[in-house]
Amino acid sequence: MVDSIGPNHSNKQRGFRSNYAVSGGGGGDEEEGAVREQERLLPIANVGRIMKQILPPNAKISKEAKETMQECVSEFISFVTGEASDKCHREKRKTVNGDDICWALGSLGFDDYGDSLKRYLIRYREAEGERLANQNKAAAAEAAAPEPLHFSFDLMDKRRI
Amino acid sequence: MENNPQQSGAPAPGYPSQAPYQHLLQQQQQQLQMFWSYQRQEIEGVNDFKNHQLPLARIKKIMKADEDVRMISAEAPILFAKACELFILELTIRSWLHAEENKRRTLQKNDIAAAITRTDIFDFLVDIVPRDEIKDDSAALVASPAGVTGVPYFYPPMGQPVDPAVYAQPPSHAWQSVWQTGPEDGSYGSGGGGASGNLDG
Repeated sequence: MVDSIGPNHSNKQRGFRSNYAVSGGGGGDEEEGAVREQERLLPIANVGRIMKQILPPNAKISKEAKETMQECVSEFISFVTGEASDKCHREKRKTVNGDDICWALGSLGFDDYGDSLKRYLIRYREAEGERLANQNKAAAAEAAAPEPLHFSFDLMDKRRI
Repeated sequence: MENNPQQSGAPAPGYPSQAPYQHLLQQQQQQLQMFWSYQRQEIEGVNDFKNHQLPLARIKKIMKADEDVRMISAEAPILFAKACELFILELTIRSWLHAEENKRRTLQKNDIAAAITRTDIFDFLVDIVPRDEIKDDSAALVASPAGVTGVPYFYPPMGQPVDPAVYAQPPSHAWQSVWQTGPEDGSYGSGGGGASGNLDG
């Protein structure tokens, strides 16, 4: 795969679909294809459920529409991930983190998403911080407790009481 | 769906067909703005970062399909779970606006196609929906604003098998945040009689 230098994003065949373009020969192809198909899409039940949430109660959704939405979401993930990943490369970092995602959303024109998710990320980090602090507290409390005494009747037992 | 005899947005002299359409656009803009303020509010109140509506492992897989992506922090799939939820919601809203314009109650692929075409930031999706998908009757637009009465509608899950990938139960009134409008608008699902529409879909 050709390495693209710089933010020249549009030329590169981005997206998960290009990675599955090669069809393997041999038996069991259809099944394999179906499995791969599932792996690159989010489950249709979950996607459909979210769509339903925002529609009026008597609205219906065609199966084709749900399938199309599945494709769109996966493309969205690839699109944003690609942009975030490019940034990491430019800055010589190996790990794509939350800030990169937020930045990528803003960079690609998803301003509302970027702003909302920045808030979400802050709240997530706060919650994680709290959770870890509580974990450490519990661990520290355990460590400070005196060890239970070990009694042994073995005369050869060299353990100290 | 009954037509509201009272047209909102009196046509300006000399432009009889434009004013109602502009009113519709304005209303659509408003609906999207309401969607975003509601979502921002929701985010401020989030406490549960463990349970999501979309499977994190699958999101990570999709991210990793890109060969250039090496390591992914734990935050990233969690953020994407939220981002994808917002994405699905927004694209659905925009698609539904098209369905409404064409007086349909079933969301179709061509509605999504129309939403993609009309929204700049969704340009990256044009390859997913072929051009001929867009069947547009919006030239025959009538300015009957579609809206819902402010009556809260509790929509409990009706004995559906629980998808183990989904734990979080989102508020059932999310749609009200977008489609709730003033009292002069017609209501959904009361096809002339008052009986509510089907619940399947």
